[in-house]
Amino acid sequence: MDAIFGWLALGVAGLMAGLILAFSLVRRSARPTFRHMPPFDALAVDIGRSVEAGTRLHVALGSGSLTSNDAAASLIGLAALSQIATAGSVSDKPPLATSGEGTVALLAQDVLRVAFRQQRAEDRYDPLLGRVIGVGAAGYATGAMHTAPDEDVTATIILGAAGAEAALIAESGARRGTVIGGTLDVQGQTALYVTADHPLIGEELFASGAYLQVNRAHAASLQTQDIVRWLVIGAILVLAVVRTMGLL
Amino acid sequence: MRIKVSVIVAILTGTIMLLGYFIPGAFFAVVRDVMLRSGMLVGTVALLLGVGNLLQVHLRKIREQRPGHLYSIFLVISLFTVFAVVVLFGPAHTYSVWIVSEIQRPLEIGLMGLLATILLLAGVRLLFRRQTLGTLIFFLTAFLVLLGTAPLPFISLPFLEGLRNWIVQVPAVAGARGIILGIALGATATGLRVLLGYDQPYER
Repeated sequence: MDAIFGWLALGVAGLMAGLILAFSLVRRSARPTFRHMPPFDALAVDIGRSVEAGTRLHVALGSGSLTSNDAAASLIGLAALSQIATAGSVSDKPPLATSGEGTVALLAQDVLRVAFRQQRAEDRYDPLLGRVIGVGAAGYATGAMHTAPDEDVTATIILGAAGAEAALIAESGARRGTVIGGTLDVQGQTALYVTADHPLIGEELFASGAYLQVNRAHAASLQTQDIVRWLVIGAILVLAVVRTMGLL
Repeated sequence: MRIKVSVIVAILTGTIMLLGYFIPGAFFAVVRDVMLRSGMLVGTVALLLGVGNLLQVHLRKIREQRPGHLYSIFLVISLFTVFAVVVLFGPAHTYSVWIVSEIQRPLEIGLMGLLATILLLAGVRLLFRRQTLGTLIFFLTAFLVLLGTAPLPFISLPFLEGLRNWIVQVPAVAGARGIILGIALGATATGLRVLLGYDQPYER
């Protein structure tokens, strides 16, 4: 039975990979239209304000690592950081990325360096714009709480692996400006729903790459998720009927 | 066409890990184990680099006499003290355990206490800040669950406990499962983008 589920899961992964490839390659000319999401409008406003008024954005990547279950959240945070940094690198105060884990902080430094290079502003790049501010969930939250007041931050963007402690970061950020936040953890999402100005609920976190136009594959994977979601809904309904009829 | 070694390594590693996860067999299990151990080793080295980065940030803060640099001095002293104790006596020694149980753990518990207070205050503020149907449902649910959980003085309302149990076991679980399913799809798509070489969160 386990082997059947293994092959089934591999089949779903294969289907999703095929759809991402297909949407990325086939629909090059047509840009898909997605529903309106206020958090990303707010993010665009914050990026613009950061450049015009010379204020700083804080991208909180959480305390997750790349080898743990919440690696996807860190990867999404890094992808969003690349767009935020590209737009914000010309600001007097470029975006600051914080993490509670070494590998993610190193990747954040790399993402920031590439963004500065693309904007031909390499001389303004400071490696400490990508930093570890505390190790572990509690250590990271404590460090991130002090980032907003210490670094003159006017917008806090929480995109990464964080639990309920995300509320501490959001609350501190809210005293200085806007807070946009999304995380994988359900408790973390609840905490952000209460504390953030623009919470990202459920898989909305994974839509950030498509809305920020990181690359074509992000839009393709969002379309793929929508299709597979309908398949999952169908499967749940069929299984519920089958179970109710006592056939399984 | 320039083929990057980092992209090939990422795609190969990811594919083997994925196959090893789904397909039973000794070969994949061994390769997966080796890769996981290597990943953990790299992660440990990166942790040291992260601590170095943390130190750099706070040393700069002290050097430039930025606001709150006194806290940075305290952090640097604590960092070296804990490091020295653990290196000299070992992580299982009474001194090392004392640092964790008597200093770190109480601090973390204190932080959780602060979190509870912040959530309560933020909740009250939310009522005035975001007046939507979602907020109303959120508060009604929180209110009923709290009412069904907390012991009430002088009166007993067993139906409240039943209502609380129903909320926690039916709509809350259903909602959480829906969210987790969506997250699983998103996480799979994110992983696949890395496997397909579209996302390269490494040297570009």
